[in-house]
Amino acid sequence: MRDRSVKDRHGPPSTADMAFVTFVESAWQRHLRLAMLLTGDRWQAEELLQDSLVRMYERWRKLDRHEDLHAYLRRMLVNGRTSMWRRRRRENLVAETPERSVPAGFDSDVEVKNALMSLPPRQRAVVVLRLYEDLTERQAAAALGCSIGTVKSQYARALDKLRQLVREPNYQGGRRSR
Amino acid sequence: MNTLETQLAHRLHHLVDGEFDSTAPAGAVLDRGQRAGRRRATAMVATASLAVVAVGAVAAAGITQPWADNHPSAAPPAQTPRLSLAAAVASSQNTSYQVKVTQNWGQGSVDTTDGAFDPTTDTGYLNKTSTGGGVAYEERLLDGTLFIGSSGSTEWKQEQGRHDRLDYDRDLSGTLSASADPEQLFEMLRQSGAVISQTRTDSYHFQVRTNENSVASSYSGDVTVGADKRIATVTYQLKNSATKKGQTSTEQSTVTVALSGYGAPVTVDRPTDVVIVK
Repeated sequence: MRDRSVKDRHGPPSTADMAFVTFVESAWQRHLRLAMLLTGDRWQAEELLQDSLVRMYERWRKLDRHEDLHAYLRRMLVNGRTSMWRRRRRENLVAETPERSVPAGFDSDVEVKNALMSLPPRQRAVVVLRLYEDLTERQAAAALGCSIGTVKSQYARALDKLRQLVREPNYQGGRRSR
Repeated sequence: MNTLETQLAHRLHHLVDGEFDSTAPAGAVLDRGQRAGRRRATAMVATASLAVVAVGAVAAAGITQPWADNHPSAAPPAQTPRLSLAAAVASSQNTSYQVKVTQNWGQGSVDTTDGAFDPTTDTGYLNKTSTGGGVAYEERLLDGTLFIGSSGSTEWKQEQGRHDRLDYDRDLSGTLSASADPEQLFEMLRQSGAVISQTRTDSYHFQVRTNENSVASSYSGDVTVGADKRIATVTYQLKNSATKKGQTSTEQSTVTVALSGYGAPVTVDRPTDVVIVK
């Protein structure tokens, strides 16, 4: 479904602009879900995604067409989220962060959402990139602009904290590695 | 992958993969990107609001170049217009008002903000929309408690602490924008050193020029005063131009601020679906 305002715009769009619009349309749904996990709600996710796309547009003509544009946008999203967090000084945007263990694992989406939101932005981004986007440690490090070692340590800390929030009888330890 | 990770991965997908699809606001993004490009092209040194831009730039650079240099007739002969306007400004402050701000970027791109605010009770609201579509933005302020909402969610965010103003500048991320906050506009008019001339009994014209970091900015606007001796409208045109490597680029926008309902009570409903920002 195309945003009507694209065709309602005055004047013919340039080829580059049309390519950008096509990219936005192809990227929107996919990256909106990632943004929702990073921000914790839909409208903040839309705001973050729009901001990231605007910044991407500013560099659009200089982007290497052989570059993975979706990976580029993902990088902007995770780093934009961290910047937004710093700017607004909003740590841990949650409805109610669980202060104690819940009965058994993540029994509901609300529990997992609250647990995720209780993580610092960087740790949350690592968890989302590794477990939702299914990125390797190397890919996650590239997205975050940090070392693989940092990804490993942030991921381990995040899992430790999440483990404290749930009682997981079957937890067997170990780390994910690829 | 251990059990916790498996469970988390499953839950993360379950959490968002079922979200309803929405139309990509490609037009709005394109508009914003083009605006941002124009702003960057003129290398505008922008701060949080028009008022801050005007006052800050003038104060920092110490360059207020009255257009009287080029237009001697525009110079106030005896400060009278400035004092009259100051009186209207003074009587417009510290009382409730309704406001509508329209910022026209050209090519059919218009941002509109409607709102009302009572500074004596720290109560008010604003609703902001754009012709390009995208998320409509809302704020409600109740006795100093700020709630933020948008068309993208039924949930409202309650900000921590006490607030004494509405954030009219959020959507443009702190870049140059029309501030719908009359207090800021009044400050601008009083402090910017604008050259003010009285054009009719109830209207004034002001002009300010600044020049900073090779960017020349000019504000040219009109203020009308209502029968109640309070400010009714502020309309101005902003032009920026910058020259780099022999090439000059320009941008401009037109902003209209309409004020009404001075002294009228401002009531705001408390949102029901609220999440507290911690």
